[in-house]
Amino acid sequence: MKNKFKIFFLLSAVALFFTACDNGDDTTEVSACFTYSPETTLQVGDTVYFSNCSENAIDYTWDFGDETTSTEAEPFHIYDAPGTYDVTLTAVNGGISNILTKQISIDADLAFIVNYGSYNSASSTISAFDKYADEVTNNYYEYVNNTTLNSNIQYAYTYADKIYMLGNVADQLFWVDSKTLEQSANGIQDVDKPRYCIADGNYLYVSCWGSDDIFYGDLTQSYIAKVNLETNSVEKEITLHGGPEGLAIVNNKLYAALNYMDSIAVMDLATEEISYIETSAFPSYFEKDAQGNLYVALTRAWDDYVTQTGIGYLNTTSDEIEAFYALDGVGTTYDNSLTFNADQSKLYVMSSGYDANWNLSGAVSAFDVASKSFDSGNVIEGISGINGIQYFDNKLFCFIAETVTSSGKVVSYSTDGTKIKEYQTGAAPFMLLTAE
Amino acid sequence: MRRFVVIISVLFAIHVSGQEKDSVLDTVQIEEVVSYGHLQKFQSGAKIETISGIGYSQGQDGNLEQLLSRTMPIAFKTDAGGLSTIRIRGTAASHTSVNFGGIDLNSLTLGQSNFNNIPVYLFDEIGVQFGSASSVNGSGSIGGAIYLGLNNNWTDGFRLETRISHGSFGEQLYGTKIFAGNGKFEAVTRAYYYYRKNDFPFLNTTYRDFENDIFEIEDVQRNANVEKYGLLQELNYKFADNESFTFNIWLENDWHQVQQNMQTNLNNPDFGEEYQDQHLRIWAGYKNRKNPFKFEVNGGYVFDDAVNNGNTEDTIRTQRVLAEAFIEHDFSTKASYKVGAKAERIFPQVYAYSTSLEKEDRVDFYASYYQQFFRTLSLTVNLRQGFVTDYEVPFTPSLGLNYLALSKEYWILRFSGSVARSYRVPTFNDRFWLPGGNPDLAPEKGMNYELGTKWSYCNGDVSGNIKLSGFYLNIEDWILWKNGGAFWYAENVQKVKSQGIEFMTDWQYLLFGLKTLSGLNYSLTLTKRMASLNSTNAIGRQLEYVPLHSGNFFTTTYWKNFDFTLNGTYTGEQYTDEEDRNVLYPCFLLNAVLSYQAKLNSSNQLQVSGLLNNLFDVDYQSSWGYAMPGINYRLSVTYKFK
Repeated sequence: MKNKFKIFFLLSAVALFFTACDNGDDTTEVSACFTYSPETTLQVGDTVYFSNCSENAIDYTWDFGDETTSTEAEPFHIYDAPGTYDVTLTAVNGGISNILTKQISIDADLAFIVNYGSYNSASSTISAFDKYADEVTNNYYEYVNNTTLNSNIQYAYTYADKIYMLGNVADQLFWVDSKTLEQSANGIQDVDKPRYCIADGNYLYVSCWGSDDIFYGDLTQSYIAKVNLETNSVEKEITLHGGPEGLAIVNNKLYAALNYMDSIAVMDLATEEISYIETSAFPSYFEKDAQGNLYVALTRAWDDYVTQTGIGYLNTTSDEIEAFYALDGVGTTYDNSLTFNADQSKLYVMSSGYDANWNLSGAVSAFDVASKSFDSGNVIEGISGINGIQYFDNKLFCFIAETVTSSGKVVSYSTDGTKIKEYQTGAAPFMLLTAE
Repeated sequence: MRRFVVIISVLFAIHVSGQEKDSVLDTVQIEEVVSYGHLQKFQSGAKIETISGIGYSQGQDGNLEQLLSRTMPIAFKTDAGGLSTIRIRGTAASHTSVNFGGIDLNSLTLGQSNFNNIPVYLFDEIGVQFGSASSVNGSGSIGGAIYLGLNNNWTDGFRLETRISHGSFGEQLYGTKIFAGNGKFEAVTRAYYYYRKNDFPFLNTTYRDFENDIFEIEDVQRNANVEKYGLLQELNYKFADNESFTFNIWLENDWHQVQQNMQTNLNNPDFGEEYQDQHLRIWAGYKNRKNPFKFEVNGGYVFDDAVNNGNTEDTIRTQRVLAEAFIEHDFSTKASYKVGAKAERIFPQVYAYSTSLEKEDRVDFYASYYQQFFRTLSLTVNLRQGFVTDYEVPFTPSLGLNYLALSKEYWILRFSGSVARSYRVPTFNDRFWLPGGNPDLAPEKGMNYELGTKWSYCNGDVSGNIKLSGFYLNIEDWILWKNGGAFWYAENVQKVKSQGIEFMTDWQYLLFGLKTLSGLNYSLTLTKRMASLNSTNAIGRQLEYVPLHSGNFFTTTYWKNFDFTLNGTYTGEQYTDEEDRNVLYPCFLLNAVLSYQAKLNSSNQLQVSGLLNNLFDVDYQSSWGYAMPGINYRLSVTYKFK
């Protein structure tokens, strides 16, 4: 009996030995491990790359904390809402598993509202718009950089993780981090009366009026500054008379709306040769459609009461204005007088005119791209102090500035013109910057 | 007691004859201040202060802003010599009229005057009326009125004064005054030339070096030169006592480079803009005050021209022809009335107006009544109705009271009060600028309530005044330009309430045996935007560029031929926008003046004066974003013949 017991004990030990060998390792040796990058300033829309450093595991299960999972060894993930997420990796080897959870913080991908301010007395400010919290934080640039902007921002442009800003008091081009708004480098001063910019590869093209003499009829000092974004210097000043304002790039051609002439300049980016397209009124800004053609706002001088304003449709293959769609009161305030909706089925156009009480009243009209006509009636009307429009987050945002010395506001509307919400901003808001 | 009997009679005499000298009771000199003397009689209860004497003479080299900000409880928004606008009792610059004879200097296009362009040197004294004065001045005097005074001296012989002044940052003033006459005919020529390079150093806080973490830098103001010259010629003839003809012609050329703000000064050092104003102002009149029926007939012509940055094609020009006549009847020793009319034809010529706008006519009819009761109480009533081409002007009455409450051996106590309605016809720009001007704008309207007391003391070597006044001013239909999307346009936007207290005191006394004159002014001004058509978060908040607290002091001590003055101005915190964002911090500026007067002989005098401004070298701003100079000096030499 004693031997039988010994044999049983021995067989059990052998069985246990082989069982352990079948499972490869004991439970303490499966180790779940992961890192992610980037580790900081993660925002909604950023791609988070997960690196797997688990040991002795064969299968992996990721739970990203937002009700999405993955079984890849090294997945990436994009969060679509801000918050703190528990990312859990379960490393499995047969029936043995190990779990590791880390908290990952995703910030809101802020949009930024540029408030022009008052030209003579103060510089611009920038407000941050958190669409998730549905709130605006004013003076955000000051908060981040602990100093004020030292110029009035004529236009700002998001490109390659940076926001390029054109300051028209200091006549400067500078840039900040597009996520954080942090400025760490000094700008460049070699742009005179900058108006608008657009990038192509390593170059930023800046329309410049050259000097204030343009207000007195001298159209000869304006030019396009070609800025090398690797060296951060103006590589070339390309003379372009007529006050270039809005720009667009299609088919390796730069289109420049000449704000003091009835024409659009077309510059071949390879040869820098310039040709002109005649327009029926002063062109100001462009919106590019899915076909690469351009809608252009056509306005008129302040002392011209005759010229019909509206929008033109520019075929960038033939370089001809194919059609003109009349709309009274299309102005030149800032860049945002035209804005497409998400699927580019509607182009919203800002206009203004006197109402019955002699107040200038702003309105937004919808141009139906399919039928090539303005919808009857305005989408929004009766806006005092309209200063720009922009489609964002499936809403239509109107920038409102009745003065330049008081807080302005942004009002969101649904696309049927129903007012949703008002947000107080800095003085004279005119545009909203979003990620590219 | 005898002294006060004299004083009281002098005060009443002053009142009746229309002048008032507050500073030194026992040395009152009755002078004829032609520009505004006649206005005061019918303004019982109105607060009118006069700047003359030492304070005035120390301001001779500068402009009117510098003089007023140091001697009166008045705030200004100013840069370093280019543009300065007044803010009496929290009102806008266009709410204070600036009167030279019957001419309101305020630009018909902009509605305001640049106080940097009003040289103190050309005048003999300045009067300041606090509170509404539209019932006597017509459109524009909602917050107050400034009177540029010329004394008729009826020179018999020849007198000459020349002045040379040099100061920091290239400041120069050359002036002369020539008086010639035979006691009946008088020709007075006053001329000056002023230049200032204005290249003062300052700490520029708009510098941004993110790579080295430096955010301010020593800088120098560039392209802010100021050059002005003017000639004021008087030709006066006295037919008899109280019967005279006066003719004044004032030519003024004011050029300056528009001071750039700190950002532009730093980043665009070569950038400069010029602005030039040219004015011709003629005011002439016949005055007959010999009989109980007194009358005056006056006429004038004004040519105003502005050139912005050398652009002469864009004309900004207005011309005015004026005529005014009134009779004044003292039908008893205690009562009189005045009835008059003033007509004005304006020819605007501005590039942004419709060419169909050729002229505008303005006619004002006014009547005033003065009544004295019981030797201690006087009452005035003023009524005024204006008519403007295609425009409706409100009826403007005012009522004022003066009461001599107590008269003791060494002091007297007076009370005054007034209620006045006021208005301002919108400027030509407000109504006719294309685009954006609105011919249908309502006039701005003000309602002013005033209560004041004045205690005057005189005993031996000590004399002085303590004045306390309270005011309440409502302004409706305040015009602002609004952003209309395509362009800006004028609209009656806001309602403003201003109330406050003004404390003024001045004393003459002996300090260690030395004659000393000291004064202190303090102003508490609560000016709030009560309603606005604009969306603003500044409803109920203190208005921009109106310091809640402001004040100044001055003290002058005389020793032999020397006098030494210290004066200082305090300006409290000021909002500069409706965002509560850019705030001007309080600042105190101290200045010192040392003068020496040498009587070379019976005919020749020499005065040497040295001035140090901003002794503490305070870094401050008066207009947001614009640098102001630190410590600076001015040395002036004046030679007087006879």
